[in-house]
Amino acid sequence: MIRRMTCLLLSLLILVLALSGCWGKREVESLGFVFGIGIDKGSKPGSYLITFQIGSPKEADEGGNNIQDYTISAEGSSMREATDKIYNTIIKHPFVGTTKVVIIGEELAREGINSVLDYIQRYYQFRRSTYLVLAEGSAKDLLNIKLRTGKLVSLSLLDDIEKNDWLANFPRVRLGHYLTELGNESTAPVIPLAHEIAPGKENIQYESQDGEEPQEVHISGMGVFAGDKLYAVLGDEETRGFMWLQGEVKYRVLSTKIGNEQDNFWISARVIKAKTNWKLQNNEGKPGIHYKIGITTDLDELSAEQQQRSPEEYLQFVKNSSTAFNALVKAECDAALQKSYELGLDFLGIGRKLEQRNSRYWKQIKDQWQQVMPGVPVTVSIDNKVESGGSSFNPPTNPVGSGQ
Amino acid sequence: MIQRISSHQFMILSSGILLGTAFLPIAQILAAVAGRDSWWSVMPGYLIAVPYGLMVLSFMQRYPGQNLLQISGNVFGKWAGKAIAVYYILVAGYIGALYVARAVDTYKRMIAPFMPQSVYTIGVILLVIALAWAGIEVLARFSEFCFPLVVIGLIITMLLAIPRFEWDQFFPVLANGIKPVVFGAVKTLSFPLEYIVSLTGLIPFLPTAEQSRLRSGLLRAVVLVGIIMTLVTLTEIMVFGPMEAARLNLGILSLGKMIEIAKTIAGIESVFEGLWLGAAILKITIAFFLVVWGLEYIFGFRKKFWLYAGIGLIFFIIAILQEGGTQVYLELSIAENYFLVPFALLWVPLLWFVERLRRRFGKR
Repeated sequence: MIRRMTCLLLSLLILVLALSGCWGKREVESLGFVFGIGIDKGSKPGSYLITFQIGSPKEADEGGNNIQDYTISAEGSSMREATDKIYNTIIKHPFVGTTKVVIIGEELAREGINSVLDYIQRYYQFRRSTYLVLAEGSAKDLLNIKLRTGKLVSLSLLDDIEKNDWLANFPRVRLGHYLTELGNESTAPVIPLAHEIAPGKENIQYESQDGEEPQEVHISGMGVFAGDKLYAVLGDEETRGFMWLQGEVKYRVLSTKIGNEQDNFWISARVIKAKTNWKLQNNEGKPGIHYKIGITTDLDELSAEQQQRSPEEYLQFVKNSSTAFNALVKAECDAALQKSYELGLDFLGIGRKLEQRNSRYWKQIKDQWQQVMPGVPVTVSIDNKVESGGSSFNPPTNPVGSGQ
Repeated sequence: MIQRISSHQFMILSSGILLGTAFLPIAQILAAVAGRDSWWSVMPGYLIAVPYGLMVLSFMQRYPGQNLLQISGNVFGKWAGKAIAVYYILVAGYIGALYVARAVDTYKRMIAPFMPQSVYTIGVILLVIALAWAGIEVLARFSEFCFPLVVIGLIITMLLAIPRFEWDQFFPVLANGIKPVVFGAVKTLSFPLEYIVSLTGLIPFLPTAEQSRLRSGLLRAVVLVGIIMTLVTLTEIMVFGPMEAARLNLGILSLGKMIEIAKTIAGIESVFEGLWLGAAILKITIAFFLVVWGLEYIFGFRKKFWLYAGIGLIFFIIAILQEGGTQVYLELSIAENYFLVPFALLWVPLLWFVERLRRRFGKR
């Protein structure tokens, strides 16, 4: 009897849960799945221009691609109002739970982004795992680019972000991480920067179907925020330094010049393992940070003077040449540190590290952190090991005396 | 014939009541007080349930078949006992109704925002009435089913949240000393003391002869739930950091929303929400029982359908009058911290002390 009653009540519980979900239901065919949202400053003060990039399944008899996609923008005095205009305009009901990337226009970012993020972190359909990206220029323009591949810009950016494990060129910033970073009083948050690549720009050549119109986008560099306002945009070198010092490099490609200045010899390798450790280190009685970066690489390219080397000579040559990688990584880290001092913004989280390991000292200096930061000794040491030298001992060479 | 639950069922039911839905707000409440070190506060706060629980259990053999209201009547006198019962009914009833409102708000907020509040409230209350009507033994079995699922749901959520950990959020440890941890522990008291108030009504249904098993069951329940709550709080601190954990009103649900498995499975918080509702139902039903037992003590009612329906109606009215989750949160914190905690903190030891004095001076 009691068992039967328990089963009955459990069934009732399941019914309460399951049936209530039908209230206000929408069939999947009526939904437009939002993959990317662009947010720009509107034409009126305090207004927003929202761009939705939506994909929805096509009817079976429509042929062609199975996904029908479109990009639409609307302006409103609040995020919700602008969103509702889009809701009212398109046939499908936009479902923002599938949003992968939120792209924030540069101009809006310079005025502050906390107010726009409120909607994204509050509205129940959004997920904190959504990626945040800054647009160089307008987010709307970026999202409206017709890529040569036919892919949606937001999905292309998502690919860029996800394959970044192999390149470690920029930080991956999810909404949840950004919000957590806001709680660190000394750390300046960062968001990676997406931009269009027109044919010929950044040494990339391709045939654009629309003349000179850009048909490629990519992410490189990052924006640093003072409070919630975009304060500066960092270049590739500084961003890579940031990645090393944050310990966010898993794999990467290193490529640097070796030998004499007049020679055009290069060494390139894939980083197959990287680890950044840091510790608190007193320097003349002053607490500072010492970073130790351990790198293991596989050699991919070694251009050098044409000369036959024995395996022993080759090993020594590789060892000598690979010190150039240390210099390259060191230069990237120094560039990031230098930029941090120059901006007076601790985007590297040095203050937070001091807080973690010496909270008493941190309490003494935290109120003057911006002034104190440049005086905190930060050192970086790099230990690179070439694990594999590739499939040959020497560059391709002609026999001695034949045409060299 | 009075229904009895086994010592094992007692342990699971105790764990279920202790866990309740406290895992929803605990990190937020503690992070606001103790920041990064809030997870240290959980266990000391929960451990208060051990001495208080032992005090309550100690009455069982001397007053078999009586709850603490009846024992209070015997020890303090009839009218004092009834006055305590009135307060007991009001506090338990109000908090129970607020739990209904919170369960509805949580569910609406995360899963079914278009569903009218009243529909879901009625569904929950009907279920609670049915459970209460079926008796304590069915509730014990219900908890045996629900509690493991809730725990599994929490453990899966926490494990899947590990890739979202911001490991540096763990440090520094105790940077602000022990004081915030103590304040945090005080904030935690409402959760174990709610259980103690529930236990005061449950003792007539426990096996009197199995005192040592009941005591070890109590200890196990407190330690088990204390560990789970510590881990929940720590997980939220590790993922959100202290400031964000204090800002989010239902951190564990936000945690669920961050979980993605192999880029294809997301939204698992909806599944766990279903499990967590079981825990909410358990806690609401216990509050419902407390009101029933209080009324039975004051007016000598027997099990009547109109009594159960009437209490259900009052729960419904209080729950439906709440204007959203923030109001429920504020009302609950007032009811728990200012009405329930001082009451439980004083009532149980005072009764225990006076009863011992009376025995010593032969006045039983």
